[in-house]
Amino acid sequence: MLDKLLNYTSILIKGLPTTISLSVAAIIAACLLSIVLTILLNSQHKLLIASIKFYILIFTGTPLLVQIIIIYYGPTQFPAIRENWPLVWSLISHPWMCAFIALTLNSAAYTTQIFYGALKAIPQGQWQACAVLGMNKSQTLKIIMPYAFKRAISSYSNEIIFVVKGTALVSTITLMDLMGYNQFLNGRYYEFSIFMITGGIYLLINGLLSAMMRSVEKKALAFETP
Amino acid sequence: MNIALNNIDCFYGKHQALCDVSLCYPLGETIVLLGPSGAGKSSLLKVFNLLEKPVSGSMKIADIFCDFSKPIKDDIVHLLRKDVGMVFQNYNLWPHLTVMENLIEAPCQVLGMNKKDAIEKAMSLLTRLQLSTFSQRYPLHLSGGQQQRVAIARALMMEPKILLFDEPTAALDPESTSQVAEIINELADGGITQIIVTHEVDFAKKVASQIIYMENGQIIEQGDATCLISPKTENLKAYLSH
Repeated sequence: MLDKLLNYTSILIKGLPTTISLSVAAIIAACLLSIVLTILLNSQHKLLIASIKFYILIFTGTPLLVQIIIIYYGPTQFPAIRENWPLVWSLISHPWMCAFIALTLNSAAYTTQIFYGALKAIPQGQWQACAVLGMNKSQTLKIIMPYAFKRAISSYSNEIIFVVKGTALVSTITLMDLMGYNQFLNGRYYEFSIFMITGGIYLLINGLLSAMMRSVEKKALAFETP
Repeated sequence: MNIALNNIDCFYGKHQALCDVSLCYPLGETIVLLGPSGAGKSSLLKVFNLLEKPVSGSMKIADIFCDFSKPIKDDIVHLLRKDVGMVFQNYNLWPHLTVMENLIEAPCQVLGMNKKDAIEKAMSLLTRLQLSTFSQRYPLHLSGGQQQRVAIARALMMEPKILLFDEPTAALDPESTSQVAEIINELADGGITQIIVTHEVDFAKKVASQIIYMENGQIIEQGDATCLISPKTENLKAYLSH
């Protein structure tokens, strides 16, 4: 029995590089994109703000699985893309890249909401302190945004874990991640224990991430505790 | 050079916070705004650095003229705020930055001062305000009085010609209040014009060279500090008797 479990585990962990590379890349890209979107949401351009809100509505209002499938299979319905934009085609015809785009756009939508919410929750007095010192909008954001981000770490930790768990859907577009190998083994052996091991590996990754984020949060918010 | 307001009207929605307010004082005075809650003291204070923008009237302050019947341009606002500093009741220090960082951010970013000079200047100010040992602490690790002194130091880093105080002692104990009064008197001796909103008559007596008493958005009485000893109006008499 133990040999069998060890065998399943050794096969399952072959999917870890894909799971981890996708998670790390999507988390970093989504974080950078959401910082930009948060700054733009603070601008005065109504059309830009409306466009960002529409993007957030689309990506938070539809399931991640649907987004992954649309991004992977959608462009193939339009041969013009292959003919006119070969570079774009070469990118979106690769399943890893499609999964990365879907996870990034999905996570950036949620992360923007987290960051923007944290920024709006900063007391008015902090903004006034910048204003009375003669700071313009960008100088003010340079001071206030790090404060907002530090306050947002707790909610952002959850988003990071959602991204890792979200990668479990990418096997639907032929990627052999942790869940992909799980499906492969389940198709061959049809054993409940395979799911238990897969769940255990996700739990381990997310447990470590959670502990790491708690430590980051504690350091980042050291200014609040005497 | 002086500070002058002419026929200022300021509204919050339909509520008129300031009604036809006019005043004129030479620079170098310590002007205390007194009055009951809702009198318009804080609104008037915020007009001086354009945190509140009146709907009519005009203002001349720190060589800048503002005609409120026209929109005020952002560059005028930034220019004015370089010369008109402000200290808040709740300090409004940036809690995620150390005391030193709180002091040097604005001079470096707004005035383009280099970091080394800014740190040197900040250290000298912190020493003057007996805060030099706290330069690497975070604001929330300091007492209220210490935080208020840091807030004053932050405003002074910009070398303002005029310094506004919005109830600077409202959250402080008597000892810290005395320290703030001493600092204000020291700044007055140094020639900085100060405009202070307060409810505390004793504090006003310690620092004021001029008094403005307000009720319902209007100036009821104004004059030198002797107003507090022999008020001319019944309203100020009644206020001082509380």
